[in-house]
Amino acid sequence: MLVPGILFYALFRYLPMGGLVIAFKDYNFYDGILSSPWAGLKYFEILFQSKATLQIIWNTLQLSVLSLVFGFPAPILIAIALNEVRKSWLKRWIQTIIYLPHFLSWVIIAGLVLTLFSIDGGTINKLLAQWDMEPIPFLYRSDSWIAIFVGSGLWKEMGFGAIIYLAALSAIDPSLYESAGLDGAGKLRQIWHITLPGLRPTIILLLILGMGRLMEVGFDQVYNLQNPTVLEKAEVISTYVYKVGLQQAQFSLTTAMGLFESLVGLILVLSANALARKFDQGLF
Amino acid sequence: MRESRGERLFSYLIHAGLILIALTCILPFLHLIALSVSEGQAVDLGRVWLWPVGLDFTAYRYFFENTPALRAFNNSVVITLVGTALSMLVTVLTAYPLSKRYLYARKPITLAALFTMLFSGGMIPTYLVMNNLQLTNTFWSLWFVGLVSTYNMLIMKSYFENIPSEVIESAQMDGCGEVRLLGRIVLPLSMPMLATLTLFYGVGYWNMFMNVILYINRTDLQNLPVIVQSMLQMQSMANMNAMDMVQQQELISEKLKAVGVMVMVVPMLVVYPFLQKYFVKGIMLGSIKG
Amino acid sequence: MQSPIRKRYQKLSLSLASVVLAATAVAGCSQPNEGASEGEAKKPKITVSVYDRGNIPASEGTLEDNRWTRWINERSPVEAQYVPVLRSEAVNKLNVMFASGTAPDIVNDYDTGFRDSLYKQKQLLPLDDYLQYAPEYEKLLEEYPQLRKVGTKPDGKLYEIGKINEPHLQSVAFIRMDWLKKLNLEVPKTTEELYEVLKAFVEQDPDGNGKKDTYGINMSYTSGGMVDSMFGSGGWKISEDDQVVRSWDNSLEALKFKKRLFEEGLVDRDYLADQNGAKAKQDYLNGKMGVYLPPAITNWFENTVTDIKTIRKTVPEAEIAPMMQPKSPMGQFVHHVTNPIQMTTVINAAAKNPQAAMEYINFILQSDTALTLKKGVENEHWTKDEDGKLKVIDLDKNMKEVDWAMDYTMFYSLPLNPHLLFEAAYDLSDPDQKAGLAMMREADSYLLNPEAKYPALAHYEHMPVLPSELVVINTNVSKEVSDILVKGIIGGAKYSAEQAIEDARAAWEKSGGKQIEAFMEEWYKENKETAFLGEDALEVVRSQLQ
Repeated sequence: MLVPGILFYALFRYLPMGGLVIAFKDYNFYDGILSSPWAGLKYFEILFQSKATLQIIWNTLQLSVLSLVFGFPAPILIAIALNEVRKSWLKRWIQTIIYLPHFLSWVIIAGLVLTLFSIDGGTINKLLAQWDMEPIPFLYRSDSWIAIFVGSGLWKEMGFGAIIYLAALSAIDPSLYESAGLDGAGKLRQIWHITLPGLRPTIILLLILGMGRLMEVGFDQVYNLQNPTVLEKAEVISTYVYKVGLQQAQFSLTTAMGLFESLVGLILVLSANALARKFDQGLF
Repeated sequence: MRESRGERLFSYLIHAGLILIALTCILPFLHLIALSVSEGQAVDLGRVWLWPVGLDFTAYRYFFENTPALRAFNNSVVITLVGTALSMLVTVLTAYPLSKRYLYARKPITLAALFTMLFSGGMIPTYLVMNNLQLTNTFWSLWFVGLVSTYNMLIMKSYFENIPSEVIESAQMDGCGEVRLLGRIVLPLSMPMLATLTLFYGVGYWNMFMNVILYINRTDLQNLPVIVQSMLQMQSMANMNAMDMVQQQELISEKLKAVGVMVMVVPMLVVYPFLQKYFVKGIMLGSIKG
Repeated sequence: MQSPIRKRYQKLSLSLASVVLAATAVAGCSQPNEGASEGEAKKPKITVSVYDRGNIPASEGTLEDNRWTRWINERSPVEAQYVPVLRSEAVNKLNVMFASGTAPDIVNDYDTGFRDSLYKQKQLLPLDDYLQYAPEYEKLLEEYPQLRKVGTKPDGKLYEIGKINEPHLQSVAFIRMDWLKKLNLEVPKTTEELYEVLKAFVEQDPDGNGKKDTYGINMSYTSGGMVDSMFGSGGWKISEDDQVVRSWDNSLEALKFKKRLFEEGLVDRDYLADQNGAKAKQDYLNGKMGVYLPPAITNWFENTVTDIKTIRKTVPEAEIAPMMQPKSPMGQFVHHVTNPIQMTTVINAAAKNPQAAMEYINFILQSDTALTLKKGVENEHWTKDEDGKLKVIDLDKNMKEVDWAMDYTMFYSLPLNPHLLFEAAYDLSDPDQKAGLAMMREADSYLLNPEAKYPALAHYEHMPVLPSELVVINTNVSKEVSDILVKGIIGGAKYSAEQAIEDARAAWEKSGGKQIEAFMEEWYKENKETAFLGEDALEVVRSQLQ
């Protein structure tokens, strides 16, 4: 039964992984992957010697940890909230609507952000002006920019992310709620004692998997929301690699950076799993 | 059961909060819809908000007549339907055995799969493999490159593992073999999760962009995201003789982009309610009692 | 145990299976089917890359097979098979093709860095031995030797084929003459005068609506570069003693000016977030901008006729005119020109039949071929009127059948054919279009000002390509510097322009800027004669205009 799966992984995932050697070679088209001259750790040196690189790695971690801290619970809360909606037509409508933003590209969302938060014509600042307050440069201060970054990511994904929790919720035995209600447990207690434990395996699983993606702050999101004033905090690995690497055929450099990201992801996943094992919920 | 005042308040808050959130999510779409059917000039001057200014469907007509959009749409449908079916099939075939605790090589294989979620050979090496297998320029390259999403597979495996053992054991006592067990018991019980993953794969294939760019050369096999992306990047063409440049400008503008986005999103809107039907409460319950 | 869910599940799997089978049949049948020209099997075959802009109507076919590919293959001495690459992902796609040895014989791409990376990886064919097969191009090389100069790589061989572009500024400022008249002001000739005019535009309510809602000028996206040009702040320049140095002094003046504009509200304070200049353009089209700096002018007709029409819909009395770049304390400069010598095409070193490739190029370069591919077939798409001027019969027909095919002639030098010039688009019987043409000519005349210098070392497509060790350093340090400069503009009274420039210089030096300077000096010394610098570009353009 496993045969097709194993074939797939072997052919399309592990075979190309051989190409990772590019990170250790001076890869060029003429010599190809196999014959390109070895360069050892040269590209890693180039990456890590630059002062900017450390700042960029820090930015990447910062943005992605914040996104995780705020963005991870949001879909869970949404799913639980939706679960409490009694009228099923309303529930369906809301579910469908809130999952829409997932399909908007960041180009569009960046435009929306601009409309809301810009200094001169932004909706919020216009309101502030009506109340005789000074406009706030939301997009140009690192702290507010980061908040907007995390918030917009949350808004975009929470509806879509809730889907899997909704699926998990439907596996919880409704009679548990009934009996709890009969025993006099209020809504909140029911949620705490039934819903959350029911979701526990799913939550932990997604958390561990999410760790592996920690270094992957989405290119599109950052690239479209960035502006020159906040670049100090808003330049992340993916945008940096894009500006330096892809645009100048620096394949070895970009592969080296990617390899580094993967390594960090691996360490994080293994650690998260080890932690989860203590609670008997390890992935493996 | 009488609801306490606190509970009623709680309920109101939840409903209000959700409705508020839903509003923020739908407003951008109203704006896009309005853009796509408004008069071109109003769009260019930034005058359209939530309601169309004037009614003008030429952008939709242009989209389907003057670009390869229709063909791309059909391609997208084929790619998505077949891809999703194949992916679900192989994912089930992979996740199910891995969920069995008695399977010999279970842990190493799972780890190996997880590894691929973190490490990847990259654009060029993967292309080289695909090229050597002569799969480029066919839909098969798209279906193979994304055949199993390890993320999805691990979710599925975890779900299978969490099916109460009583159900499985009782079926086994009735003399059920592995395949029958999978087909008649496990899968029906997993409908919500299967529906969810079908949606995930479906969305993935529907929006597939970079892979299509890389592996497909023939323009008649391109899918919708590629065409829409070209539109988003389109600048005014070097057609200098157009007396009606004004009209042309309208087309190659925010309006057309809005049309592109709408065409991409509407199918997703239509599909989701269907899948929601599978999120039936108490699905596990029915199996135990039965 | 046949629960309703199970039944549904069975139906689902059955339908899925049938879909799989059906689609497999469909997908399997999509075999490459380009054996259209069977009888011509004797013609040598080549492959050519062409940009895919996603704008070919379905009824016309595909980029690989449509009326024009058929037209070309009927007449050309070679059989050309086209390989489409999406415009926005061209570099990625072509890279992957070269990596796998599947790249086309003729590669067309505007990205200088990309073509150069191909050269460095020995993927390009030197052209000298094959020029004989493309006499049209040889002719062009004699008339415009700069084409050879620019297409030659450090090893002294010719690798790139290119085209001449019409001589124009890359962009020009447009000013509201009616506002000037209303406020009794003259067209500003110096940056100080410009400042005064902008101030008046913002504070004296020129649109007479009682609200202070007008903008002076825009700096969003690349428009800020136009302000830099006024001060000759292009990053590098040639010093009095003929060395390449950084243009810090110019940058300082430019920064001071921009800072004033920002602090006094003469520009949109959100200009930094206007990522593509769209908002600025909207403000202009809505009649709210006094001096508009278009990020780039790709189509003069659009900026001189279409935009005006749009503005007049809101503000019927608007009068727009181009404005010469004002003189700054650093001197009189012109803005960048459109690249007069633009390289577009290279040949794959692995091409099996370079001679055939050159013959194909030669065919496209022939005047009639190019004209047909750009405007259509005579009498079917256009006719010539009594004055010999080309008139398109039906614009919609052309839009549907011809206009999308523009990239087949990507390497053709448009100015060679008078029917293909920008000016041919203007119908002089329409007073607005006549005025528009006059505007374009007016803008061109600014180039002829003998006092005006080029604002940078060279056009960005002709700047030297850095070696890989310096690429990372350059990206980083350029970013740091530009960040500091931006802070200098918006940082308020506490952060003066002088302080910003000082900090920028310090950052430059600390992060390896000196290495880049060393490289540039070296490069200039060695390549002074052969490089195509800003002044050279200006020279070419001036000679074309006269």
